[in-house]
Parts: sequence; C-alpha cells; structure tokens
Amino acid sequence: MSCEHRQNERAIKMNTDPGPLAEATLVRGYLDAKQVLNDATRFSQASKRESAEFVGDTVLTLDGEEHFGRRRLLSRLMRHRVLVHFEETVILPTVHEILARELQDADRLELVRFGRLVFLQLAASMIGVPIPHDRTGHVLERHLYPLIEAVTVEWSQRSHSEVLGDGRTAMRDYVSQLVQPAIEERRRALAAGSAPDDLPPDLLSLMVVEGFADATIHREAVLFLVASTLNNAATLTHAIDETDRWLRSRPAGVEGAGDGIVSSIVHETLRYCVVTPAVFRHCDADTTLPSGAALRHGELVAVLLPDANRDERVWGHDAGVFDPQRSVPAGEKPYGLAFGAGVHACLGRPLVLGTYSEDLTAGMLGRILHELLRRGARVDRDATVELAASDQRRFERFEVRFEHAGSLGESLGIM
Amino acid sequence: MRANVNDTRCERTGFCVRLAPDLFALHGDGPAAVLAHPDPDLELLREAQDLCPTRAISIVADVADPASRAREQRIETESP
Repeated sequence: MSCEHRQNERAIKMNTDPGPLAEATLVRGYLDAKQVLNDATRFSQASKRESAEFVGDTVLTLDGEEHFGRRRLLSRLMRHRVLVHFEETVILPTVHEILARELQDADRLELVRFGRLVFLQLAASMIGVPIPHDRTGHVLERHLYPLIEAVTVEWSQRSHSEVLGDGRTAMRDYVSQLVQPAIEERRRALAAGSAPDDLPPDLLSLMVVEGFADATIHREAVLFLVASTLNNAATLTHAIDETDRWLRSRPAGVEGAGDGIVSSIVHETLRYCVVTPAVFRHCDADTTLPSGAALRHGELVAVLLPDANRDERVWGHDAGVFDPQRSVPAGEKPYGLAFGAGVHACLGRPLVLGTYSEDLTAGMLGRILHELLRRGARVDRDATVELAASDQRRFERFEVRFEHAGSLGESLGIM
Repeated sequence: MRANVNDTRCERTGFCVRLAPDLFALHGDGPAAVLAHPDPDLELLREAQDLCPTRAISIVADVADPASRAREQRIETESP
C-alpha cells in the first residue's frame, strides 16, 4: 500500500476523529510552514505534550537557552568522525549480518523489522546501552515497540491510556535493565579516576559528565532510542515501496539512473512520505505569514509537514507525484521540511543523509537502500502488508523478496 | 583557517552566533556572516560546524597562510 492509499485512509480517519489537530490552527503551505519553524522568536515548541512523561525536558521539547545548551552538548554525537565511526562499525556490519542471517534459507525479508533492528543497533551505540538477548529474543527490541507507540501517542488509533500504560512499563524496564546500570558504570569510572574523555563517546557519558539528573538522562535516552529507529525504518520501507511503484509506471525504463539515483530516491521519499502528520508550535506574538494568513499570540499552531512538502506553489504541478528525478526548486532542499527546520531541525539529519560534503559520510539511509537494491530487493505485491495503527505514515509489516531478475536494482542499474 | 557559510543552507538559527559571537553575526534578514578575526579558535569553529542544524558552516584554509593549511592537514588526519 503506497503513501497515497495511506493518505486516503488518514483523511477518512481524521474526519471522524481529528485528534490533536482539532484545537490547533493549521498551517499547510510550504512557505508558511518554513516561517513558523524558522522563527524561534515568535514560535515556541509545543509538540509532544501528551508524551511529556517520556520525552519532556529533552532536546526535542526544550526552548531558549536550555535548548541551546542541550543541543550544543548532543551535537558532539554528530561530529563527522563520530558519524563515520557509527556508519562503518555499527550500521554497515549490522546490515550485512542481518541480511546474511535472514536470507540464508529464505528469499524474503520483513523490511520494517529489519530497519528497526539496524537502527536499534545504532541507537544503542549512540546512547551507550548494551543490546542483550535472552531466551525470548532481543531485549531492547521488546522495549522499543511500546516506546515508539507511547512517544507518538498523539497519532495512535489505539486507546491512548493503553498506549501510555504500555509505554510506562517499557520505559521502567528499559531504564532499570539497561540505562541506569550504564549510568552507574560511567559514574563509577569517573569516581575511580577516569577522565571524561576516557568514557565511551555516547549520550550517557556526555550527560553523566555534565551532571544531569537521572530522570533527565532517562528521557533523553528514550528520545534517542525512538528518534533513531522510527522514522528511519519507516522511510526505508517507503523508499522501496515508492521506487517499485515509480518503476512500474515506467515500463520503458528510467534514463540517467545508476548509483547516483539512490540519494535522489532517499530525498524524494523524505519529501513525499513524511512520517509525522504535524509538528506543533505556540504562537508567541501576532504574526502574518507569507500567504497573508494571520496568527494571533497564544494560538496553538499545527504545521502540516506532509501538506507543505506537496505544496504545488513550490514543488510544481506534479508535487503529488513521487519522482526522484524531479527538479528541486532553487534554494530549497530536495527533502523539503522532512526534518523540520530552524532550531528544532532534526539533530540526526547529518547521520541520515550524510553531511553534504563529498569527503564526508554518504548517509546511512542511502547506504542501506543501496545494499538492499544491490542484493536484488523487489516488492511482492501479493505479500501481506500491515499498516501501523497510527495516523503516522508507516507500515507495521512490509515484506520484500530478493531475486536479481526483474529487481529494482536491475531496473536502476545497481547490481 | 576561516569559516565559510553556505548562504543557501543557512536558515538563521543563530546557533553559531550564540556559540561564537566574535566569529559570526546575523545582520538583517541575510544568512550568518563570518566576522574577520586574525586567529580564530579552530576548536570553536569545528563546534560551530557540528552545531549548525543545516550544516551550513565549513572550515577552509586561508590560502595566504601556509601555517593554517598545515594545521588543517594535521587535524584532518587525526584518528577518531
């Protein structure tokens, strides 16, 4: 099922249950959205109110000096050499290991779980928690799923009290089994005379050295876990799904493809399939947006990122079509507002996309997608596809088959 | 060494100015400007580069200063 199908379903759902958008003024246009996100003097953060017990007081939800300080601290995890380290020693080996294991006796792979496992490994390394297994499987993965649903509860189609309850249990176990012991380990090392630079270069070390309270570290560790896995895994699946549809609509083939097309597919997927329906801001001063719309001081504003990224006034008459070979408007980024913009722009963007310069990282999503295409991934339209019980655009289950003949990679010249 | 700001990428978050007001400035509606400085703190420049949400800042060698170029080479070859 493509984003279009998903979007139709969302529209029907929102007619009867508008959820968190009901009380907000909606901003749909691209330029209006950009102004709201970029103007931190007139708009303050108002996202994640319902899930504040999980991600309140984090880099995502803070504002002003506190936000600047936290962002400054955590940006150390996004240094070029750290990104290269994660990409080369965590992500790519994990991709190869999982693919080798899963495809040993099968030609099929469930892509949502694959993506989550790969990015879970990354998240654990960045946070500084171990990834233990017990006789029932992957311990961290069990904590992850309820936490994903709890942190995005505002979009859940399930009972919110149930989602939050499951999230509380998962957070308690995640913290007590993995996060707090790792915090204590770092404190013991410091007490024993280790220098801060001797600690592992991860989130927990940074926050322990700076003397943050345990509860604050716990919430930041939840945020990093969810933020590193949810959207990346969703986007990877959409990239395969949409590329398959795009190629099917071009039976004569695609001109000018090759390895360079992969990053274009990633960018276009991010533009076209924004996972989160909206982000929220408080309007702190009367403002007139580029469209002429007026916002009043005190209003809650919902910036509809998927709508903004398909605004025909900016992206052209074919804004609602997936086309990795589209011309990007001058001065705009090919993925539009997929990562937000302004002071709250996604901290992990360089990790996901690479850091732009030719000599820096290529971007994890592109590297993983390239590997799947190179191995012959193709979509089996008869296979079972499950959507998540959420207004977010994401699959719960999406199976791909591996077969070189007629694969996506073959069509794109990537084999 | 000196900083360079990519005008297209800069979204005026002002992080660089808050971090290093002697090295960066925001004027009017334009992108962040790099201020002239005889000997900018390279570590601070690198932090500004990492902190910028849009990765608009790069660090370039001052071609008129051979010592600066040698220093850049040393830093680039540092192991993680």
